[in-house]
Amino acid sequence: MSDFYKFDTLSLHAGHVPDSDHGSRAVPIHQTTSYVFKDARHAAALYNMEEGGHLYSRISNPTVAVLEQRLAALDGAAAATATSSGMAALSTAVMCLVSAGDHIVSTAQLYGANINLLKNTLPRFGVETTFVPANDLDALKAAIRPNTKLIFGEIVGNPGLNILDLPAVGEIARAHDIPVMVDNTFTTPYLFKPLENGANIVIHSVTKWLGGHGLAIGGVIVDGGNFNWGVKDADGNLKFPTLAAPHYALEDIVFWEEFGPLALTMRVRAEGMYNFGPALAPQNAFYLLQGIETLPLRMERHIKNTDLMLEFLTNHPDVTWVRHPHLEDHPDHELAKRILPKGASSVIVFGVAGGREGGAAFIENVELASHLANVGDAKTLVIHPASTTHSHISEEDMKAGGLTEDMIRLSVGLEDFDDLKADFEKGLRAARKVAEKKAMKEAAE
Amino acid sequence: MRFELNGAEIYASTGGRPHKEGRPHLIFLHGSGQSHVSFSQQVRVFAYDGFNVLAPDFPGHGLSGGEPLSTIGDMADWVKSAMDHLGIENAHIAGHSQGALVALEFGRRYPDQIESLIVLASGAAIPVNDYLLNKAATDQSKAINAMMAWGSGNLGHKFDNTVPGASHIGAGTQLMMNNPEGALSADLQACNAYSEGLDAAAGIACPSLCVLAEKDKMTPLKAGLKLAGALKDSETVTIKGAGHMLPPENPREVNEALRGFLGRVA
Repeated sequence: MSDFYKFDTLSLHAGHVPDSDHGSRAVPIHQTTSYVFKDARHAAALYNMEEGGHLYSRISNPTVAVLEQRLAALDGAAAATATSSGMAALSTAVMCLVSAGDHIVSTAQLYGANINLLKNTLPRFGVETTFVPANDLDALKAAIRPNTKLIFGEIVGNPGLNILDLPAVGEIARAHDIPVMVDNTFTTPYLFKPLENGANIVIHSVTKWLGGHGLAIGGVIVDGGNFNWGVKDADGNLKFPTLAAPHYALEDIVFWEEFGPLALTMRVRAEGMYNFGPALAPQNAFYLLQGIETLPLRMERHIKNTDLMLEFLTNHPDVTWVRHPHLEDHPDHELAKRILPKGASSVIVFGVAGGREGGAAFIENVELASHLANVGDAKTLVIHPASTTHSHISEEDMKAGGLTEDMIRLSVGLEDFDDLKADFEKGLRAARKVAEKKAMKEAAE
Repeated sequence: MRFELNGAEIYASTGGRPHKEGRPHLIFLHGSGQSHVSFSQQVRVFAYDGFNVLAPDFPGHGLSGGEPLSTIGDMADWVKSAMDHLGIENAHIAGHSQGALVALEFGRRYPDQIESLIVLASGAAIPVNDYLLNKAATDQSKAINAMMAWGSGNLGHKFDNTVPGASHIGAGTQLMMNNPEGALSADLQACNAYSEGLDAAAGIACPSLCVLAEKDKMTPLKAGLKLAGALKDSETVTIKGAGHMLPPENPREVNEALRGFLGRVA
């Protein structure tokens, strides 16, 4: 064996050692709410966080723990906590860290629900967010306040496909003793390891490429364990009292002192899972684990098909524009080459002839590509963000996020590319017809 | 708890419970480049079992200030100073790896102050290879990487954990990275230079327990059994399949062994 098991091996094995009684090779599905205590002392020890173990599946579950440990392994993290969705992961992580009066700086180019949480929900609880253009480092520095407790961004913005210059953002954050949390859903740890590039906390929607088969919703909070939560502000007060001051219920626990690199994860268990209750079902954890087993193989093929699709779309007369970081005209092309050398996600956005109506015609005429609200499935998916995923955000936020009315978001799947190409030809033909009709109508007017 | 000793602020975990008069004291001494956090699965358990637990960060480690100590003897003297400062007359002393060498040396120097000795994954000597000594001095992150690779057992390498979601290798690496530069190098040099373990063991009169790891690549089982053989009143528990990082990786077996032993001697 080499020093450590490598990524492909960990994708299959991490988190699970077959038990000595039954030897089940597949990860068993522990379909149970609760766990019989050995005795009264054991029960007390679990409630009191004296030792590890499971007491109630809202807090933890053995099948879910395998998923968590596998993701911690793949991301090179201290720990991970799985949640019922990616949004549950983000909201839980944020609420375990910040309190009323705190401030967050976020990039503006985000998934619609992420924007809504930060812009509309958290202010009701006294937490304000300043949005800055991704990679405008001066704007980021200028937005930091004494009460800023978190910097947030998406590695690949959804759906604008901007790339976050995480090493540069991390450097600024370190200088101000602020943790960096990133959403790494689009790249997965196969394409990018945020913790090695300046992040402290990583959020994944496991639903997407990690699970990879559109079977189950899930999320995860990945804890790098690489932030000093004991840091104090200019007035000498603890900057992160949720982690560095005694816990409100278990008053003898100061997470940072007692658990060091696991401080945030233990807080997430004790508060996030306990009070908010965003538990992932064990059956779903099992489905997601099956997906992760083939993550390296799938990601390689996703990226290969993405490059073939980019070549096809950029040369097609009925495609008006194409955006992807692999293309030289993408503003973050050089950055993507530097920090995402294995690929910058398998999502492509593009516009077709006929504008908004042309886009609708394309989506309604493809037969292999599925029109639905997801990305990262093994199957190719398409959607029109302006009328769906981002329909609840304002025109101004859409513009800031790089969204246009004619944009089609494509999540490239694993099909034989010849079949995908033929399918897209059909869709583009339909779009062209719409464009031609529009042109004739305009000419007649 | 935090206290000042020899001009440095020292942190020691008490497992969350303040010390109470009349309770037996149980001290945990961490290994090279580690901190009290390596005993996070022991300190609260034994504090709630009725012990006055003390798991200090040695100077220049974890949350303690000051400079790292340079010899095992100095570390044993430092433990004595800490006990005197806190008014602890005697204690059961458990040490992991380097911490076990310190406990041994403490037992030799201060026999009246040790109630029992608990050795966790150690031999009487811990010779350190040149690669690790060199990397610890010149490139700490590579040395930590090597220690995590050699020190972790099958459970660590397969990312299994009694603490749901936690990674032994990930958390262990960060724990060591959080120590100030130089801490690991000083510790490894101190371990490498210590050659009096067997003499110290021969002089230990108190009861002792050796909890050893079958697959220990850093302090091999053979070395642990040799130490156990040199202790007069000793029990040995060997944990099957375990690696060197026993306290976090195999807490259930370790705690069961400690509970059984302490139940007889405390």
